[in-house]
Amino acid sequence: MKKIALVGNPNSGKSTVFNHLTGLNNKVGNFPGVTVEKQTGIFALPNDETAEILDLPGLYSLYPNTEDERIALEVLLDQQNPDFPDAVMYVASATQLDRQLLLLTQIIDFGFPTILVINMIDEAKEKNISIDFTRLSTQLGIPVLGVSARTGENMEQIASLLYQIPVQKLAAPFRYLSENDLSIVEIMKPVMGIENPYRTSLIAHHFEKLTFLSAEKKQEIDEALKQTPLKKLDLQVKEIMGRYDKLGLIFQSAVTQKREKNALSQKIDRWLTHPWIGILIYLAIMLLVFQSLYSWASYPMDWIDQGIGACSDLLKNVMPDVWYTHLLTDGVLAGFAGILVFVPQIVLLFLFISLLEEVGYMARVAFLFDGLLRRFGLNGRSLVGLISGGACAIPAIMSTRTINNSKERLITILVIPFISCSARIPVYTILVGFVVPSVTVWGFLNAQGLVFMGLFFLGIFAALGTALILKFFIKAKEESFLMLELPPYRIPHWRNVMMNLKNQLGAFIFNAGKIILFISIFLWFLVSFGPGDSMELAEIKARNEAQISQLDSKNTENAIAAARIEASYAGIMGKKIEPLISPMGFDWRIGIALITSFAAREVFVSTMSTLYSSGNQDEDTETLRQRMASQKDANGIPFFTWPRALSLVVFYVLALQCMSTLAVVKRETNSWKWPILQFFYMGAMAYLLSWFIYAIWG
Amino acid sequence: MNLSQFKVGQQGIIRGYDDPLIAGRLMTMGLLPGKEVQLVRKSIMGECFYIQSETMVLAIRRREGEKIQIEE
Repeated sequence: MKKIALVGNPNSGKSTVFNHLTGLNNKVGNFPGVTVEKQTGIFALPNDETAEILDLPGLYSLYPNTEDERIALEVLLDQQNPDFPDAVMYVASATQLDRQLLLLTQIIDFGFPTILVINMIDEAKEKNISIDFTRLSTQLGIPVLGVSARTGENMEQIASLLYQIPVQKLAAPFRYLSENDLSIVEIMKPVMGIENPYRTSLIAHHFEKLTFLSAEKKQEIDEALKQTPLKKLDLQVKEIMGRYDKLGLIFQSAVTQKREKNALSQKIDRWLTHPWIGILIYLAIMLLVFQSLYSWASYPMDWIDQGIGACSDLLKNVMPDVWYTHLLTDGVLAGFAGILVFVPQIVLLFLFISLLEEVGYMARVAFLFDGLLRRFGLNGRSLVGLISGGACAIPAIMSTRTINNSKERLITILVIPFISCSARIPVYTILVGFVVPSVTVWGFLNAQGLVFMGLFFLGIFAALGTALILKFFIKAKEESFLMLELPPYRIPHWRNVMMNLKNQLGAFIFNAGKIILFISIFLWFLVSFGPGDSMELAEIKARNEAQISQLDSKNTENAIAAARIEASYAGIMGKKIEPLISPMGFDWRIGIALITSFAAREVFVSTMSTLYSSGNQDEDTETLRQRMASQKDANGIPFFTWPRALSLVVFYVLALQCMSTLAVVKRETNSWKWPILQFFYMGAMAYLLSWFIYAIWG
Repeated sequence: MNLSQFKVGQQGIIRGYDDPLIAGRLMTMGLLPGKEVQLVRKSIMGECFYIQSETMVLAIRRREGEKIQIEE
């Protein structure tokens, strides 16, 4: 199968072309070792042949100044790279042809069979831009095709062009090398053994950054180059100018256009990029996004919960009451629920993000907030993640994919889980009642509401403070710069939005989902099994005691459930960690809840109600709180004092008590290093602050 | 003078760049010496510039603007 690399500038409509060609036959992954997204798709050629298309990130050049550019350069330089293409399909926008062809001239000089696909010819017609495709083709020496990926015009001709690539004559080099470069190429040839002079010269200029070269090879190149002075960056500027000069001549002879500014985009930008009105508009949009995640998503989330619950009940009814039934219902199905329950929020958030991105708005957000957020090591686009983190960290962390600076993206990912998400609300609701009574202060404010707000602010402070610290510890892989093109506003293309949604969902379900399912089954094992027959003994004992105190059947069930979990591995672990957590004022029961609520923070509430059960299972928070309040310690003093409750709730604000977050951070950072580090520093902060609170007031 | 010394709305011709890295990036984007450029607006606290050259609109940082030499 032929491998075709899809190359082009940002805003060339490259992904619209890709989506049109490959349809649903595509998959998303990462380039090895980095977090840069890699999309590949299968595309049918004539005579039952197929081609694999690799969508490289949008680039302006092959000089490796950004991570995207470095990866693209490595794919195109290293013939051993599994993605090394047989040919290149270059996409440029007909409306900006004068400045989107520089990269093409580099590709031609790399010696790839290349076709030029000029996209958006429908828009160009509207703007009275006329392009002489034949002349362009003869001047560049490659086939040129005008298409519109949006309307589908001429798209069917791409297949036959790609099919003919093996018999296509290679274009002559676009630019011959300078004398200085030629002498470098002569020196490099015996070292690298590459025939193509332009490839060889780019390796000579940038070998330090190229990861496919071994350390020995780099040393060898370094030695060889000592023979000649190498003025890298000045040469680069000269080279760019040389390429543009020649392109300018070609452009003049083949394209006629009036240089009009985009009046509509200018008018819209007067408001949307206004220094402070723009910020207000952005916050209003984010409020809408937040509202949708927080309230609209709750309906489908409830349906998923109920649907899985119904499935689980059904299975319990038709299958024998043995361990594998429970594995299926309480382990596997619960795990699926834990994956599917995030789907509505992910869909909604990415629907918004893709729309805003497609319209061209996200680039404006970077302009508005870059100055403010850079102080925290964050990016204008980090705000999407931080704000939607208030609903759920999972879609929020996934949204950081649009941040192209790897350091800013990593910091955003690492601080998002500090923002109080909706799963913490049930925990706060239970515990805040112990901290303050529901009274009115200053005439109109509810004291509990104020504590709630304080908890939210604690999360935000922790996030920003941590970002400030991480800024100094995380090394930047690339120079931080803005220099961002603000594309003209355009109507979003539904296919791009849908493809993006499908890809993000797929990535979550098949990558993070695996980990969530695994941990869910593990947690089920911890609460369902104990050493030897300890759980059976505990059950018999509890049943006898229930009989003696003449409990009704429901209370007996609950007492048994409490006794069983106490005897399980989870119970044993809870007791084991009691010495560790007692400085914070926690006992072994809370220890069990900490372990089980790792599945999802709201599980804290159901575990507590099992452990403190002497009443109904399905009681509301008020009765659970009353029962927790009636708990006495060994000395007969109420156990849940307000310092203890405050310490516990602060622990839940700061600790990373969520397996799904860990799974998604692993997926997004492409390594276990960051989720593990994050788990421990968030845990350490939670421990220290809770311990401090309990030590002072406890 | 350089672009960061411009007032909002001011126009000029790019003469060159003081930083080869920034030059490389901006030139590959199409902001070439000899082209006309206008500082359309600044973001809050003047940290970022919204600039326009022919049909192209760019957002750059003030630090990046300092490296663009402009002639009025």
